[in-house]
Amino acid sequence: MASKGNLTLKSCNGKEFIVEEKVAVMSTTIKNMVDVDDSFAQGVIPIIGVDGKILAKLIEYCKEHAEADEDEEVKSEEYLKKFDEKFVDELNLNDLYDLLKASNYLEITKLLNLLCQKVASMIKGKKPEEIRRIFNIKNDFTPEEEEEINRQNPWAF
Amino acid sequence: MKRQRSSSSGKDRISELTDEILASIVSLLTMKEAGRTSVVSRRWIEMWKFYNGDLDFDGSSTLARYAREGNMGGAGIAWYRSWVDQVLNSHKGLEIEKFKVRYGLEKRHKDDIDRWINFPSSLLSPLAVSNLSNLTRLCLASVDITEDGIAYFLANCSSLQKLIVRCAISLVNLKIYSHSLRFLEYVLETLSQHPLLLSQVKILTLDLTFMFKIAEWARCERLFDFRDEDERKTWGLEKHFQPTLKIVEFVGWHGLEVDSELAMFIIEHAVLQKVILNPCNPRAFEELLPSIEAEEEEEIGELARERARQLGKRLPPGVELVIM
Repeated sequence: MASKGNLTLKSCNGKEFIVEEKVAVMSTTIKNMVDVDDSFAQGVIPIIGVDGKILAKLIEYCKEHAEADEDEEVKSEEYLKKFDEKFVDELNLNDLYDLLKASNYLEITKLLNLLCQKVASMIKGKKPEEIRRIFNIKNDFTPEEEEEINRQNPWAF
Repeated sequence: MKRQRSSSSGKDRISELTDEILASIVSLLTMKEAGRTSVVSRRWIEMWKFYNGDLDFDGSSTLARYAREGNMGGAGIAWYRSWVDQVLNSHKGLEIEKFKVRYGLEKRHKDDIDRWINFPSSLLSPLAVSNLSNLTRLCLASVDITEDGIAYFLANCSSLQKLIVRCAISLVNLKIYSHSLRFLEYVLETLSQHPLLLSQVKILTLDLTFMFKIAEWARCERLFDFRDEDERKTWGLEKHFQPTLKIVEFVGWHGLEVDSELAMFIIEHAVLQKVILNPCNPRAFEELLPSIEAEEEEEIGELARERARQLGKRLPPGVELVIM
């Protein structure tokens, strides 16, 4: 059991993480759970649908940001910006999707925005064909339909 | 740095993300880029409809192309109209931060403009179709608007906080009666445009670019004498500054005598807290002196700053001077 001020988070594949409460409540979902039901604060909080690897990543992110919120001197805005850049840069596509889903479910708004920015930056300046290739998206239009869409949106190309 | 790998499984996982996430990703793109994602697949064409980034219909480059080709007639406007209509018709976003229309539109396009303006307002305020009560910022640039037109907007935009008026040829008097307005940026371009009636405005930005131009063209540093009572009456400048006006910024300040005169007049007649003199106005240099060297620009800026410091010595106590 976690000591006072700490919370225990349990991933869907049974991995447990003891984290400081200020780190865990960066997630609005967890904050609401703890606020509403005191037993969560004492026991183990199950994080449904998030595996240990992704949960570790989430905690890494929340830890940096929670510390920065507490002490701007030690972790400046510039430091955080660099941390964020490195954080998203090191993700492969599968981790990126898993983190997007998890940060959406856990309502870690800052991280969700950061990850959305990352995906948007991968789309920026790309042709539709390139976007499909990067993300493995199947073109499910018939050639006629595609031509019709292109005809309707000439301004976009 | 690790290289971004395309997922090895070959599975399209991005399209499995929720509508909410995909729509927010698409909304981070420019309208053009977001529009491009609509052709990717059926899932993405739906997401594009929820685009809630800025709706920016800037048709100036197309307009310029049509003009170069000598084709200013129907083709250009037909293209522009179908662009705006097509996007607005398919759009399902709930809120719009910014809506911009920029094209060579005339009186005969009144119905189009009405339709477009009513679109965002009906979304912004679904209960009050055809009103602009939630609009907070309005920029009218090169819009041939009259005093009545401004009054109409001010009367209908009860939440309007910032108004920018640039290059309004027919605007002779600018009278601002609005309880919500806090920021006004007004580009002076003809000398007859001076009478300013401001009720609640706290920050006023005057762009002197055009005054500078006129002074240069006329090869004189003095355009009219604010100190002369008769002349002031002619221009109707007396008693128009309300006590609410606290900050005035002069953009494109060059320290010409006419600049100083206008500044001193406002300073003496309004109870100001802060005067900002901003000599840097790249637009002014671009339009006026296209071949100007960086060094020379720096020199002009320095001269303007020196003149600003001179002006500072004439300020009444309690007025803060900021030289940019």
